[in-house]
Amino acid sequence: MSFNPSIPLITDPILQSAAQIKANFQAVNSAFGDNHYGLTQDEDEFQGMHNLLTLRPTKSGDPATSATQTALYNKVVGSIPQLFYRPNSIQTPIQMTYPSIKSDLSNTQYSFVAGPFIIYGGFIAAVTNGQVITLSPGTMLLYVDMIVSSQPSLPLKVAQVVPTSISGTSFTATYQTTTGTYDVFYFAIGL
Amino acid sequence: MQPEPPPYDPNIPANPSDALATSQPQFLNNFQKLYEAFEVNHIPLDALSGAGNHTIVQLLEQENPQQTQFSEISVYTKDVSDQTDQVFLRYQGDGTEFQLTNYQIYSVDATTFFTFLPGKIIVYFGSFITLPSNVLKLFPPVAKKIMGMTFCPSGSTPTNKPRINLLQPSSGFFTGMEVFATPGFGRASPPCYYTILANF
Repeated sequence: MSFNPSIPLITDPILQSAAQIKANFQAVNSAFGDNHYGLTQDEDEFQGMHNLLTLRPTKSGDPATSATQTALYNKVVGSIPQLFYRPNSIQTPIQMTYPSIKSDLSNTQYSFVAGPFIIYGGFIAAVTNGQVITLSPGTMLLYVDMIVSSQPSLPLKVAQVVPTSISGTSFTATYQTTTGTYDVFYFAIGL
Repeated sequence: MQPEPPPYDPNIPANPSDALATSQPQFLNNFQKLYEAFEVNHIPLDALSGAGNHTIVQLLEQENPQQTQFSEISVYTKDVSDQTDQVFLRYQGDGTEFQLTNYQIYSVDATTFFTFLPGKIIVYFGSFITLPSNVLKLFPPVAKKIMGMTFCPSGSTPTNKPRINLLQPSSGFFTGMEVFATPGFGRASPPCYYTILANF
């Protein structure tokens, strides 16, 4: 039974109110136990603290913040819920998360920073001069750099590589020399 | 010594026929317990304004990933090996869980820095003028895989973009890399700013 803030009525007999009051105490206990250390759990020192924060989307847009408040909340962006932070005094909200992340020890990975900006990193073996490299997920690249890497067991290779023709999430590996293939690391930032 | 008040009891009044004289102290105890629990992490129920808002959020360690329904995000903490409890985030619909924070347990010097990205990624960054034996050491040496990097020459030879040669991992961790000059500039690395991403 859900919480009823309107009981008891002044004219209610106690026999009627008792069950309503008990139902309210149970509803409070159940609701408070969601996300919080339970009211009936053993350790008094933990009561009121949180087990987790389950954030549901705000229904009225970005919450207002006063001069001494900040807000952490869930806002849906393109049908995907994202974690947002709003500084005090209703300053510009900041999206803290990106819809996905790939940090799995593979050769092509990405993470994010607040904005959200996507931080790409990767290793590609045997890249040829003029090879087009396309990163995923698709964004607009704001920064790209590459560097030639040698295998530890092989003689040091000699080349410089720079990204050219940067467009969308693609760029072209362009070498100082036009022959040979090289292993490269890349680092990129997209929005 | 005063006896401990009884805990919150969701099952009172136990009998509908209980006299108010019996129920009243039980009610008061439940209201008091609820008030005390609520004011931990929240603005108290009797505050003139803002009741229900959070003051801080203390997260108790969880053992397992927390469930999320559609449109929900879940934020919680779990113990992380070799660290303390860290904040995790799970996407909607029981989606991907990832570690959002890291515990910085290492020192830095004036030109060598590091920070973290979500997903257990360490970001080494800084600058150097010269490198002993051309070796740029990674500190802390926790990199399981080098994920990406960038070097920007900062000296008087801007066309001297270096190339690198990873050192063999030690006990499964990359400890650094050799940084060499472009042909025509000798072997010593030029002064550079750098950023290196790695999984740890």
